[in-house]
Amino acid sequence: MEAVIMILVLLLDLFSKHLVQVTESLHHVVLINGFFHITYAQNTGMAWSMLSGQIPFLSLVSAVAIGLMLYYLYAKKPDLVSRIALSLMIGGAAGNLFDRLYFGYVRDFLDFYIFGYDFPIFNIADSALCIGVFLLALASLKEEKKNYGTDKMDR
Amino acid sequence: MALIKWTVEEDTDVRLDKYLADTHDLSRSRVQQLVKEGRIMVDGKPVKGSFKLKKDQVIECDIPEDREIDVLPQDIPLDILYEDSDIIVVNKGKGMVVHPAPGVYEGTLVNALLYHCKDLSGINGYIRPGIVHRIDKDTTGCIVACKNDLAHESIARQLEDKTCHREYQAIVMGNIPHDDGLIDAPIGRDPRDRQRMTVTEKNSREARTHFHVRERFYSATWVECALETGRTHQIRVHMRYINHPVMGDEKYGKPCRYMDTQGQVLHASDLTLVHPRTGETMHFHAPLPAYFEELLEILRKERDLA
Repeated sequence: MEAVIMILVLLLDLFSKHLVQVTESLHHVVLINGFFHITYAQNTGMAWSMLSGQIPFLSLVSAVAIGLMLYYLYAKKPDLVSRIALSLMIGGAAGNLFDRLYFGYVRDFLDFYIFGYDFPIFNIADSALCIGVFLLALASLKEEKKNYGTDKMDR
Repeated sequence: MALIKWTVEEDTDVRLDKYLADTHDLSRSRVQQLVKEGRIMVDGKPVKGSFKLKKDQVIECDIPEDREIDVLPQDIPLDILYEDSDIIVVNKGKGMVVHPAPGVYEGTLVNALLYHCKDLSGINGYIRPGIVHRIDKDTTGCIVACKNDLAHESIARQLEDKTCHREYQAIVMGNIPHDDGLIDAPIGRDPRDRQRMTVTEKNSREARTHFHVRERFYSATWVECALETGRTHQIRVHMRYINHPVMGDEKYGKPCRYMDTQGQVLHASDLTLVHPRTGETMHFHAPLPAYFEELLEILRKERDLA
């Protein structure tokens, strides 16, 4: 199941990026007026353009992160939610790593208004990463609660 | 040849190439090239770029002058706002570079001016005849060029003492809550990315931009900017600094949401100067270009719908 999620995220991400990239008419599209646009951007930094122009460094960090997550996923066999979370994160990280290595920038196109000040434009890979992080946080909270409970029983 | 001497004032042990690149307007590769040619000496001895500088050491640098390169006169259409025998004011279009630079030798404003008028001033090196100030490649609007030394010196002085006044129109991202404001923040090279400028304490020079809101949109603002100083990318860096990057500015912000603007939506609309010969105060105005008007229309529609 983990492999299916990873590959699905990766394929969906790469396909959507490619579609927007090669279709000129998809570079500026209003999906929901005043809320959701498609705007094609080539981002040379990390999420939300932090660390702009540090491609080699970022690629190394994501490659190492993917390695660690794969190890954790397959060697440690965590609970179901964590496994789904890690698979989403690995797929997302791989999608953006591909862009950084192949193009030297990340192709972004999801452009929402709700972020107010920072105007990020992102993609499916970023979304999968964010959902993964959220799920992982949720899973570890649950884990902690469980441990807390057993601690008490021991006493 | 220009022989330049500097004394290291700071108490550091920074590398020579980094020091020169940070404190002077030389790129690191340019410094390396000068080092290779043996043109840089510290305390009288030739050194390597990696040389660690100490306080009070004297750096001598022998910078060769700009090579005379032939700039080709080219018949490129120009929107001329004013011309006489001393100055010429042009409304520069999108995408035109002002003067030749490494990698760009054709299609610049200078190429066009050389074709259009055969009497340009050349005191600022050889490859920038007549050019006293610049506007960025993707910025549109007023730029003045000088045809003789009298005009060149006069306009250069006016730019320095701010007699020469420039106003810009920009559409920025987000809603600026204030009606008027002054951005007073020093600008220098970004230490993390030398291709960019940024607001920084290190090796920067003071920069001040006044802005005035012309029109508000759903999530965009049309501002008029007056420059007190003229740093590289000043308006773009200052607007990014207050979290309202100029729309379409992919270097300091994001591509435009609404249309292909071919770079920042920034237009040098007004230029006021004193004529170098007659002493008359002159005002030039470049009307809003098509891409700017088009974006305003889209933004008005969006605002009225939302």
